[in-house]
Amino acid sequence: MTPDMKSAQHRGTLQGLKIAVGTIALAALVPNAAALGTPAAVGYYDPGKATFYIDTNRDGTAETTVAFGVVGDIGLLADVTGSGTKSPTLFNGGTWAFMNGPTSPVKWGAPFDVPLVGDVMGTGKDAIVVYRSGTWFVSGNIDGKATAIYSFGGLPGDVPLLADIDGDGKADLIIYRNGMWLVSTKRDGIADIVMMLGGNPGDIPVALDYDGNGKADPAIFNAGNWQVSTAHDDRSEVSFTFGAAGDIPMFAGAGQSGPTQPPPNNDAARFLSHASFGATPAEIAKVTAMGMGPYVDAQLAMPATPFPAFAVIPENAPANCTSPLTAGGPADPFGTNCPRDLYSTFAVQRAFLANALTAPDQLRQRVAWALSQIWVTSATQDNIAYPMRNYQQLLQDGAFGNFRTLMRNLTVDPFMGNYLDMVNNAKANAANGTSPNENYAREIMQLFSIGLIELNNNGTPLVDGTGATIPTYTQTDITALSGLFTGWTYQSTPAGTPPVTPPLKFNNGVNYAGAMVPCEGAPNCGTTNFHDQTMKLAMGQTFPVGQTADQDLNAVLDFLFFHPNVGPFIGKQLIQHLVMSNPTPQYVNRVASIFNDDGTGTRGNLGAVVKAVLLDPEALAAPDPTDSKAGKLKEPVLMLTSMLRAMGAQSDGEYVLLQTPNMGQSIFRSDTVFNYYPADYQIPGTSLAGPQFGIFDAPRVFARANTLWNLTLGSTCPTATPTICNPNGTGGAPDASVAGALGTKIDYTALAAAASNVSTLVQQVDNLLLFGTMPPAMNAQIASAVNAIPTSTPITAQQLLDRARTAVYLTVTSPRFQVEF
Amino acid sequence: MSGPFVFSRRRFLQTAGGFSALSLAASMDRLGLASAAAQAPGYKALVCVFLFGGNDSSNMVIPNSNYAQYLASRDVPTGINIPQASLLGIAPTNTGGATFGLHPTMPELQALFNQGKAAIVANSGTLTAPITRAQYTAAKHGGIPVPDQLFSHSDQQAENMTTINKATLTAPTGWAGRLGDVVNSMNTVGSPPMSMSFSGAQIFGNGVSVKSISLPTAGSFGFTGDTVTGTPSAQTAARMNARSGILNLADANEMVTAAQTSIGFAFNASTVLSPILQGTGGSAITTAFTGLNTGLSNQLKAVAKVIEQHAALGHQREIFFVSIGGFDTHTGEVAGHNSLYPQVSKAINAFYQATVGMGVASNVTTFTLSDFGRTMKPNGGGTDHGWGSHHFVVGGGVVGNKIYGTYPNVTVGGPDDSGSQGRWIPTTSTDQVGATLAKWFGAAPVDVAQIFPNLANFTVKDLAFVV
Repeated sequence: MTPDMKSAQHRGTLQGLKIAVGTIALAALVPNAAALGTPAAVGYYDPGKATFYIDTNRDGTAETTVAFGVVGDIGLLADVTGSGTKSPTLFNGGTWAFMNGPTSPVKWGAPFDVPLVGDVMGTGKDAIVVYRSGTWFVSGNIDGKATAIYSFGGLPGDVPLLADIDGDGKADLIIYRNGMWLVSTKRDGIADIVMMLGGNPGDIPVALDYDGNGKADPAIFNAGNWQVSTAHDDRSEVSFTFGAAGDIPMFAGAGQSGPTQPPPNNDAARFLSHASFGATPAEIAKVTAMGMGPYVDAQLAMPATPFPAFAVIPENAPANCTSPLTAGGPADPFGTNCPRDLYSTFAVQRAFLANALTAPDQLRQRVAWALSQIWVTSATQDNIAYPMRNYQQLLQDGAFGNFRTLMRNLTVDPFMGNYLDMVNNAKANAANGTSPNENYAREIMQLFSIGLIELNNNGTPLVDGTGATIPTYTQTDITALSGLFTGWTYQSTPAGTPPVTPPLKFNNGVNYAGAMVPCEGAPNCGTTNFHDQTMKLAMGQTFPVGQTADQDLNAVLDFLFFHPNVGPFIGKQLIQHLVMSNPTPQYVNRVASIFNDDGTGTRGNLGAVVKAVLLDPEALAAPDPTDSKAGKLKEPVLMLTSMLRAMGAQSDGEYVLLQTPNMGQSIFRSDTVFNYYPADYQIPGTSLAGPQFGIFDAPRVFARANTLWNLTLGSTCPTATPTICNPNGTGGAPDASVAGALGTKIDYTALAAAASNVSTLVQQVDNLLLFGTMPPAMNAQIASAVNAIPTSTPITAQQLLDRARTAVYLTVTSPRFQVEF
Repeated sequence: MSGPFVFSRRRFLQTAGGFSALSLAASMDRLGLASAAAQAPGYKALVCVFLFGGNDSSNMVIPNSNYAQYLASRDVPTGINIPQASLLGIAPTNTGGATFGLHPTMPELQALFNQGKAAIVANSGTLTAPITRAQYTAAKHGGIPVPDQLFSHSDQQAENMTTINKATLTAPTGWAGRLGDVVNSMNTVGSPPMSMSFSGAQIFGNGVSVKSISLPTAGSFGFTGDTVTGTPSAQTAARMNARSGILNLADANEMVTAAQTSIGFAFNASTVLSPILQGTGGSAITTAFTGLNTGLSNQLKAVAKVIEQHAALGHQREIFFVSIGGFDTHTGEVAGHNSLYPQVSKAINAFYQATVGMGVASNVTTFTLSDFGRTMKPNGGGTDHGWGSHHFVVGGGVVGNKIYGTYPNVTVGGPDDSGSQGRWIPTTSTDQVGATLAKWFGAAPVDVAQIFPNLANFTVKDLAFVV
């Protein structure tokens, strides 16, 4: 049957079938990928008027009304071009017309077929589909040619729908049969999901992604009343009114924020606060779409975003290393400020922050940062940049590898060797009256591997018969073990010249260009063997006489690696750095068990440990609303990166690295090997562990508040971009003395635009920074402060900006933002 | 770690983690009110200078008349010898004629010592009960309890600040904080915190009710942007109301309430203390600290500014914590000390002179503490973690020009060595040092016994180095 085409334009006129309302099932439309994280708009088509009504913000009124087609057409909403929005589409007796799509009508199907649209192929565009007695004919290219044919359903009374129930990006075949929803996600005719909803007279099934989590939800429309099962649990969680009897309900794509907008996916946001330097709307959508497990796997597989290469330079700055660099100085890849760029930590801090703020391998960067706070080395020992860069790169590269490998790589790292005195540590010298240096032997045990007291696998202390804790080692053990770490020195190459040129010797000059090497006398290194080759007995282990430096080092690293403390000691600290300060012993036990055996018999698989930390039920659980010890105080770096990332700010990191020292966290420059804050810090007056509270004393509380003021109400917005603002302080505006500087800027445009409605503004700030968890009482406090800003009629741009920045300031300075869950 | 001496400590710690705060506070206050004001009227301040890292005091206070004993362990080839000719001589009046010398970079402390305003407490450190070499080296230390984790920085720092064993696991309070609990009734109700640290959050000054506040040494202490001079506009007032309103909201999450407490504490204290810290202080202070600009001197200058205003603050008792780090001299000890010891000497002296100028020299007592001493036997350029070490006490009320306690025999493997590397077993405990200061501060004997649970294990409760 060929319709009479009166127009070649989008507004096609189709004569057509009278469709009896009540027997037509509606095209359930696949949520558009860009709509993830955004709740649905809902719509209906009034066949008596050939008009579409769309409610974009779910306030019960139609914001958009479109008349399209003629009485008798069947109306659908489809996105056949992949534009991201659903547009009115018509089917009449086998001919399709599009408001947004092919300009000529397309023939697909026959009269009495049920028209459907959905992204069957997973291409981001809806295909047109007709259903005929259990056979589904798909034209994916909207050209009247079949791209797929499926079989499913076919019983009298079956109502077909197309929607992506399982969230894999492809529309699933759905048969609604008297309240039973049969879903074939593989489109192979087998119903692998069955749900119940509806089954009453007058019920019309609709499938739409109501809550924007990427999965279409079954819904029932009856005489204007909608019931949606967002939890897919055979019950309806949501109900509202839109339309009336006789209307045909449909999904209208992504909606807009509005008074009934649900909060963003909290679970995904909370997960990302553990797995990244701060959740962003795009990452929340990605996690929502992929699922957390696959997201972690993808992050584990991602290679490190490396630091830029830093050239090896002399240990002592040459005389012409000045600011700006004078001719003949060492090559400066960062700018013209040799002391700052080559002989301070500045460039390494910047590179670290650039990755933290924008690199895609967020999890690896975050875990490396956590490891750098356990295996601490500090530039306060030696300010030169390139070896700190190399040390941090080792952590990044090894973050998901084996812990035993990392132990070795970090132990022989020359910067660590200098920091904890393993370099040029000589065996005992009776003539001089000296003994080996004990520093590394002590700290590798106390801080880097087994800790001070014997632990159960769940991290609780082992106790003896009297209830006392049991030390892991004694001073005598330390003295014995110190000999195992003797005889290592810097490689002999002077900085900048090719490697491995003799002579190698003990107590030669500093050279961080390569790992430390043993110095054991002739023929490779002088005439004295500086390694202690005596037998050593410590902690019940015998290290035999006559071993080389390398053999002894591997023996002691193996000994420590296999100590049962390592799993709980390292595992618990990883939990505390990534997730929460007070994990239950059960949580620690689960994580430590993965360290002990990742499931393949391998011990020390850090990637598996990280995955276990992130996906543990305790990490994923929403905090108990009645009493909770969940969460942790954000350390200064995370406080700033989480704010900047959430707000989509652009930053080159310089402002951040200059602000965090006053907050107690000068990046890579902690005062001692015990990190910026003590791992065992207990919050005064409580029984809670709270390591980050160790640097949350009064001056640093103010340092945070003052920086946050400078990022919001104290920021400067240039005339050219009046809603894009730089914080006040060095590095806020691009630093002219730094090559490639971008400064830091926060774009308040969207929030200022929303600020004409105070409650909308506060809700948006809540969604952005607290992921919808702002307590109503706090919301009210912020709203009252915002409302107190005087406004003109009409409200000025400056007033809108001040409203936006006030709301952000009060949110980020609040304890609910300072603590993350 | 068990034995007959632990019972008082165990009772004190009975509710580990669930400290019986209320009963202790109540008893402390009741006794304090009666005793402190009666026993020691007038203003007093205690100033602790903590040397972080473990100070090798064997090179700070060196035998002079018995230099040969020092030389036997630290001859020139060890790399850390201090030549006898360079020692700054002191001749204490109570050492039977034995003379000593300070490190060559400490002339100011030498002068104070010779003037009788400074004293040395020799070979003190953490001890649970007195113990001899024979006992310590015997199996299970001969049944005598010893402090936990003796050579670990974090544990020994905590145990020196708390005099409680296993401090990092169980101690909720520092001994100075507990002393503050006893005497706080002498301060005006509602006055700013009496316990102040200029070195970040430390357990030292945290008591049951007395909480230490951490202060900056310079610069503003408070809001820089979100602040107001004069009458705030309606807009600013509303924002400030919202800021404090949010701070006072009830919350089910304990981390959030802990953050609220920390933030609120800071806000409240800053209004009064910030102007004092931002000021220059009076002429006594500016004169005394002229030319000094080190971390330690700046901290002590800030302490002086607060002391200067103690009456305006409503304080009769104040406790201060300052510190200097870098003493963990596993390597580079000679150069390290050449940099650190002058800072200590100059800063403590400047502070003392400032108190003289303010007329409160006898009201303020300054004392040093450290994690531990270090090995007499070096490792070639440096030393490793030790135990007992020597400390200074300085003030107008100090009975100076004396060495209190017993200067050890510095022979490696000798009678005072806990082993074979020269880690001295202390012959005076930090408890005894603290108890002496607490008594001076006005705590009655029954209070002192409660503040220092292990004091019962020692005969001498008052070393009498300050009156």
